[in-house]
Amino acid sequence: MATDGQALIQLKGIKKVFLTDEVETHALADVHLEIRQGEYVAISGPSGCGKTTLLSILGLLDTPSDGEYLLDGHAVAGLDAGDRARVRNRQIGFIFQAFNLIGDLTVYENVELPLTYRGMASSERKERVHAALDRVGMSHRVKHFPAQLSGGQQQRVAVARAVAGDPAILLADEPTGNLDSGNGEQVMDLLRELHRNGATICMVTHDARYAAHADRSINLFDGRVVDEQPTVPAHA
Amino acid sequence: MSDLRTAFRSLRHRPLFAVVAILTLALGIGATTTLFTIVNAVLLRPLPYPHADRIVSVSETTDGKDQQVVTQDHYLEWQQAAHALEYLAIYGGARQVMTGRGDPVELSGEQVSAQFMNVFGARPVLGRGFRPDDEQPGAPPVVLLSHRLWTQLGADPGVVGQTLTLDDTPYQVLGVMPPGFAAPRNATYWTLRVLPTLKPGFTFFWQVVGQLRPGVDAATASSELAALNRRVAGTATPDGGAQARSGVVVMTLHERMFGSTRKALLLLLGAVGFLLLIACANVANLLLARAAAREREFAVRVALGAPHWRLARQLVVESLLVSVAGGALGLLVPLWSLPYFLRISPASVARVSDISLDPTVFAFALGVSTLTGLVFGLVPALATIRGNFAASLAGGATRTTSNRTQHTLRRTLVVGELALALLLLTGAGLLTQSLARATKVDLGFHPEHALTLNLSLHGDRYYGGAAGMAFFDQLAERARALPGVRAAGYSDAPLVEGYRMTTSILMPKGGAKSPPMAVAEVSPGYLEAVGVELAAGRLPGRNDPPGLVLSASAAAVLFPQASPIGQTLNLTSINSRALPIVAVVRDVQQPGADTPRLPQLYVPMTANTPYVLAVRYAGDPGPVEAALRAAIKDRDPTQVRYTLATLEQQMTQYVATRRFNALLINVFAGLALLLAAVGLYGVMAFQVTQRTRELGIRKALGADRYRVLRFVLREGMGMVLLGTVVGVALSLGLTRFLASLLFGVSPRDLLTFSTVPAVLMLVGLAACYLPARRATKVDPMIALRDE
Amino acid sequence: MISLRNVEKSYPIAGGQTFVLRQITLDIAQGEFVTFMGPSGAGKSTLLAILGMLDGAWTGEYYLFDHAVHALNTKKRVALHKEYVGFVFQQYHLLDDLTVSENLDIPLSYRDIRKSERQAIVADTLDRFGMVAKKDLYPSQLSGGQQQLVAVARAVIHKPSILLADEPTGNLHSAQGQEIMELFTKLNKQGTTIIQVTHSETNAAYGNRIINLKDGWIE
Repeated sequence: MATDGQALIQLKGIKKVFLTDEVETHALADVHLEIRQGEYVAISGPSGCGKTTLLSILGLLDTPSDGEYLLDGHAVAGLDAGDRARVRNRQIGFIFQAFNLIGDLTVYENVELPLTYRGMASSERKERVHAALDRVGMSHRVKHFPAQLSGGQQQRVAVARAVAGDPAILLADEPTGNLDSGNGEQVMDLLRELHRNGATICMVTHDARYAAHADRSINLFDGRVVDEQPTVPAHA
Repeated sequence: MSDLRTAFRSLRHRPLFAVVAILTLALGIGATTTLFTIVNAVLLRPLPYPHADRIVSVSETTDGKDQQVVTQDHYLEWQQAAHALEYLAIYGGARQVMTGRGDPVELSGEQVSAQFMNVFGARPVLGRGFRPDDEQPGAPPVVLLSHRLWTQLGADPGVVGQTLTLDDTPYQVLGVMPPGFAAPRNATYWTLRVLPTLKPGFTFFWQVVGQLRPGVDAATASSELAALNRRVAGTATPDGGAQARSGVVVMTLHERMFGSTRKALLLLLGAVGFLLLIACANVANLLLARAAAREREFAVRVALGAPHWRLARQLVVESLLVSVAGGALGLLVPLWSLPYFLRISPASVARVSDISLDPTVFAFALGVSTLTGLVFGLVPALATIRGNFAASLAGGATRTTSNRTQHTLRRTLVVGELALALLLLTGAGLLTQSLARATKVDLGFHPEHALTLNLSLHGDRYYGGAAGMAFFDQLAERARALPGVRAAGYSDAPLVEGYRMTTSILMPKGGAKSPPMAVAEVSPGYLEAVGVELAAGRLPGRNDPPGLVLSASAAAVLFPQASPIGQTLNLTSINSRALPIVAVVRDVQQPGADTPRLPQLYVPMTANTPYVLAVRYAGDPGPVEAALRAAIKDRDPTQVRYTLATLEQQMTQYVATRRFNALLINVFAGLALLLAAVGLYGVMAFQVTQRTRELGIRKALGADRYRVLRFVLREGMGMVLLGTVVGVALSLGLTRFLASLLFGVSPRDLLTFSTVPAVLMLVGLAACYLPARRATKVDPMIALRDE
Repeated sequence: MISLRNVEKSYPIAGGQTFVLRQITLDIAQGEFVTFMGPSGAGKSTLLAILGMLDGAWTGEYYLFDHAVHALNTKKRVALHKEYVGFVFQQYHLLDDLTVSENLDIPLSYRDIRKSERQAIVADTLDRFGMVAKKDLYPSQLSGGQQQLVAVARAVIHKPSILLADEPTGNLHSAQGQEIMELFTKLNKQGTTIIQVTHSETNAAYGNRIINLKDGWIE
């Protein structure tokens, strides 16, 4: 594990091209990016600029057409499907715009899910799930099903699920996109708190105000990084 | 374990999916197991004897027609000289009344020759078996008891040597056969049948069974026996012409017993196989739809780092859970329906006493459906896992239609289901029409308001006719005294079942021999009682001098030019006297019979013991029945071997097999239609859900309710139409296999081939309408929101 | 031309209601090019749907020309929608199974126009939008920009007075987005009233008025 301040993620010349019958769409064109251990980075830009594609590549859900991706110093390119699943499971925590909790599972089971894929002992799982739900203030809802929760609550459970496995980095895709501004603020506060406690976070948003929560804001436009600057925390 | 819990919950959260999938499987597995159990017991399982494959039934043919019996002189020759057969025996069913042991009871037994037990490789567990000297003329009558009868009689270990009285004749008990032995079928005792001495010009016919020598096949045996027959013909009978037309048939006893049922059972098995296929297609479709609906769930699991084998395992557990639940429920179907089917099944099936649920078959059906579940549950989900799931995670799928391959697969499955359902419906339609035609056949007589008593008198005192006629005269007298009774009379033979006697008589002109004709002895009043329609002349009354009655076809053969009324016919071989012809009646016909009955001569009662009493009554047959029972009991309480039934009830018996087949295939076809409709509904409902966005866009672009309805219905009815076309083509190709089971209906019957597709279209329309209506309620907002 | 008075929309939830739109009062004149802006969940798309009469479950008053929309039943609203409104979506929403010309034909086919006339209108529109060469292609064979171009053509093919656009450039690269915006400007100059929802200040600049929404309120 990289120590604080070292590059956890290095992207070099990442390209992503979608091919259809007649046209090539360049979703990402030559992206260079470094995210250090403990950083909070926001990727912003208009819809269609390639943010979500970039996040999918960072999260090993998608492979770049070209370029190099080093995660914690290791090249990702050579991994097979099983290795990639393992990396996603242990190193990466996802937070989605649409929450993506599994409807058939209780809050507890949703948070537990990534841990079960590691073959972790059930006593340790229990400890971790409760700790994670405590951090997001949802431990009183362990037996509820997602459909019984408000959007804001669902997203907090999703955050708990993402952090339960103690991942190297949290990837958040428009985490407030499906929430009203009040609930959105709460989720953003939660992310900031996680960051203060040492979590590395990479968040995609098209909302400049939320981007301001991060240490650093990367602006993506037409598949390129056009602007990269440290942000002044708006809500210090 | 947690996979199992998740699977349980996942089913509970989608109760409709779970219920439909499980019920569909239960029906498919249940119906298949039920029918295959019957087929297995009847057709596939060997008879329960050692060397069952070598036990054969031997019979002779005339002009290629299997007579099912063997002439006595041939049988004797075979016994002496045949090398192909290890053992040879005659047998014939007998129902006799046992007296002297409590109330008189009618028993079903078998009259056999001494080698009979050797043919079946059976030895008594108590006492000894038959020996050749038991058959010698003058030997005391002996009987072997079945284990069942022995148990009924108290399982007395000292039974050997005791006396058993059957039809007033005392038999010495030789021994008791082992438990379960009832050859050839459901016999409770065996007595010896002594062969009569042959007089010149007369012969007797016997049912014959034998055991082939090891290594000899049926064809070899048959040609050896035929060769022996030619030797007999060369030495004994000058009439070589008749011999040339005859042959010998050797077939396994199994084939003899069940051959006639095979075709119908195999057909029904085919039908139930199609039903299982439809059920599997339905489950496949449900699983495909479910996999598509859960695309996002699996994408989330993949994003959380689930190894592929874990996802596969979860799906396997879910599929197995559905299969096991369906199977468990399916197990109930045969448990519940087998006894019912056996109760209504035709005699040859029902007489198989030990039909019970077949575990192999059940495992097979469960296996097929489980495999379906696995393939159609796993494959699409794994495709999702390997595919581009990033899009479904972001929730921003820009596609307006679902995965094309799966879409095509789903449609194909439904079209297949509909086509198969149409095939089964067509079969059901044809068999139902056959049943209707067979039931409505022109009988030539009026069975309504006629009661018949079939009484087989036992005891020497009734032998020879006079005492039997006196007995029947008294019964007829009692019946005529009842209010509402219009006619009563008796005969030596049932009206339309089999022939008691057939003969060829000398033509009145020219002296040639007539084609064979049936002869029945009838008392005055009998033909009126059974309702035979008079064509010419007058039926003889009780006080009239004896006269002959001809059937119309007999009259046409014997007197092609002139009216037969008033002519005399010389029946030397029957009555030994010339009688005047007093009436001509219409020919009678057995319902559902493929060939017309022989020309018929009705002669006055003289030589034979009467067998059938017929009474024409008004209103209710109950009092007549009661009076006849009382009359029999008064006169001779040991005469218990009789059945009472209205003539109409008897007529329905002749179509019982048709009714059974028609009922079963109707049940299967109904289930098939139901499942296909559910399948169609499911696919259409799924399509509407999947295309919610597209429907929303269309509405946003200005489609009104009517257009949306039409859009969805067109899609669904397209499948129905295709299914109909494929089904009709399939039916045209396959119904010819039904031809031999049809009666009065062409395998390409226009009525069936127009009604059935119409029914399918209507049901299809109903199945599509509900999803289509839901489509009209899609909120066009959906096109704007991106979730 | 468009006049909203106190329009509100809410969903019942456990123990109360959640509001999507609050007290919306708004006038839009013929020939305007209006932009709704605001964060996600502010109610922009919902407002657009109400204006386009795709959403019927709201309270308040809505006048379109001299029609009191709030007093009309669904059938009459559908008729108004057909007559006056064209829609452009962020996701283009072309039907994948249909070619470009068939996609253009859909709105016409829903409007009881004779086949020959429909063919003429489609041919004319293909010309006008410079898409003749692509008329037999399927959406999957087009780039995102081209697809949106077809979608705009489809939205205006029946000559609606109002064009409603929900994030029309949301999925497009900037150059393609610019092309769509210029097309809007052209249509607006030809007399079509345009109302768009966007996050982009650049796109908003093409219009003549910006209305900001937040949590269902007009700011």
